[in-house]
Amino acid sequence: MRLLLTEDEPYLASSLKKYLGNDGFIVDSTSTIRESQKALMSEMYDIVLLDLNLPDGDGLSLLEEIRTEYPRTAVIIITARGEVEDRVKGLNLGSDDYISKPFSMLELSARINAVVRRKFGLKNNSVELDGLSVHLDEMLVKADSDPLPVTKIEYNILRYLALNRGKTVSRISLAEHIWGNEVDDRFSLDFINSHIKNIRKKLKDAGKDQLIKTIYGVGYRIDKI
Amino acid sequence: MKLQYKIGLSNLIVSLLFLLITGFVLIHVVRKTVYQDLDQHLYYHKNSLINQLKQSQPDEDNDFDYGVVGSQEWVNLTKWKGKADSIPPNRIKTVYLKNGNKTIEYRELSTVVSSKGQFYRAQFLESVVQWQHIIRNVFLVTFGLLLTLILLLLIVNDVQFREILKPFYNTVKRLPHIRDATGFAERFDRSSTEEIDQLHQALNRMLKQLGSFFEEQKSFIQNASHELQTPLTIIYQKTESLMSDPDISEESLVELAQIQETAGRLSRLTKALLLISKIENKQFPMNDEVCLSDMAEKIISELSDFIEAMGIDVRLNFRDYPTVKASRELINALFYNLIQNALKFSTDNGIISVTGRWGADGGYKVQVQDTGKGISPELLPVVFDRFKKPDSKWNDSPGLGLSIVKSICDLHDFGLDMESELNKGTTVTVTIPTSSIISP
Repeated sequence: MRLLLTEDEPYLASSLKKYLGNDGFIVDSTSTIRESQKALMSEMYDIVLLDLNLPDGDGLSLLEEIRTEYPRTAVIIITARGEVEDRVKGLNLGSDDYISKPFSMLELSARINAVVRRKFGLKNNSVELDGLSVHLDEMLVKADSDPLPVTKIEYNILRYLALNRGKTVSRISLAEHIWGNEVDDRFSLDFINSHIKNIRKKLKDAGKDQLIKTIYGVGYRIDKI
Repeated sequence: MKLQYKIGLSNLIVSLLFLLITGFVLIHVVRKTVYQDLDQHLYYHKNSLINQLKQSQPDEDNDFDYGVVGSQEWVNLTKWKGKADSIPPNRIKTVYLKNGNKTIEYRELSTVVSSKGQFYRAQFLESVVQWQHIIRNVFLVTFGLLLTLILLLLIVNDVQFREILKPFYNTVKRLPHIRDATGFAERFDRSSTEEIDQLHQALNRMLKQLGSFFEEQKSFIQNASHELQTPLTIIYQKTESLMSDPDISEESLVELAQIQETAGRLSRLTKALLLISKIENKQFPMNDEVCLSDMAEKIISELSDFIEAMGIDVRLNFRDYPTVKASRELINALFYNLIQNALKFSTDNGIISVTGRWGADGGYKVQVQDTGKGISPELLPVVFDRFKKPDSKWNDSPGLGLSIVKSICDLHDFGLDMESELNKGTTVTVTIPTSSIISP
């Protein structure tokens, strides 16, 4: 999942980037409204973490823009301005959540997970598929309540396919959501194939080899139950 | 040669020439004056001889001399047998007479005088030797004075020129520092020297123009980036949202996926081209201090997914861990492209070594070596050209990685060299000049 972090405090930005990266997000970080606009224009993000106090203006204007231009992107506001009025204003403008500085990383994780749940229509922190559950708050996949040993990339692939269950995910979107867009796609697509092969092998061992469908020439799909 | 020295040298040459001419003219004039004086003296002797002859006649038969060679002056009188109507005119010339082994210079007046119907040839001689001493002394003193004067003038001139040319030299000294965009804001002050003022004004005009060209180009690249990326993102997003429609047919899905891949490819291509033009327009500040081995390590960890999946053994070996003055963003892109390229060429379970060591002929060499497919010799010279790819397998991916590497190296004045052998592997060497290395 791709996340855009707009935060002008470099230390906070780098630690958030590291933490969220470990959580399986591909994080791009920007420090101004202008940079964020550029990033949003050329990339697709699932979530934007938005600081309101930015050197070139109020983050609320960017929030409005995201709501009208990129309706599929969720926004979580981060700010030191904890006043109720601001919160209400942000939420009214369509932010999905609001977190005030200082906050713990765990709280941020929980809020991001809640937003992800809402965005993908989930009741709890795991996606339940035909006997397979993919947890969102930790790197855990269970097949009939037995943990399935998956690597980080395999987990990321499974999580993305599971969150988008019922939809066909093209290999290129999958690659971009896992590695960002810097990697040459001719190169990364081959890797998607081999990782899917490995995932299938593991699923087959757990008796779930029919879970991931290949749409030839397009990508993969996990059907909705 | 410095302008100042050039002026000094030409002054010196002209002065010496002037001194030489003055010397010759001086010698000539003094000599002439001395000769005139001597000649007058000789005529005086002639007159006094004529007077003397009026009173007493010389011996009938003998010639006589008043004085001998070596004397200051003497007269030589011989009978002359010519007719009265063929008397030759007075003749004055310089003669050199030998006295022992010494040659003495004399002025000689030869004339014919008469005394009581008898004609005599008279030769009056007067030595120049004494005068020569005077001439030499006058000459030496004058010459010495002139030489001292000229040297003094040269020194004064030099100091003066130094002072006058100071603003000019200051300008010249500043010019080499105006190398990239940050220098275009430099302005030169007005000067009281007309030419320097004109030069400064012209430089200011040019710098201003360069600055505005640069800004225009920069904003063009930025705008082009926006204008190209936005529609591509829209295409990409719309296809993705169409693809997530559960009722869509499989044929349409395939076509949508192709549209999406094409849009993605086009987007990457424009990004790469815009990056290259940004590099070529020197839009990256180049004053970061970048540790090469740290950067290589960072890129390897970023690409670790691929490295692990392919079972590649990456060997990192840097000597002395140097830090270079460069653009951090571009050094990042340099390593990213080099290592990603090595991965692309590699076969499963290959080896990639990233090494840094001091070159034998100066500079620091960073080498990325793989044991992969290699490049055929006929393609090797063109791999850095835009849109040339070493393998038809990557026909439809933009082969700009190596072009980016090349433009980054060109911008930083790094050397770039590639060696490859089919099925053996490829080695790319980047040579960083000593001038770019901050430490160690």
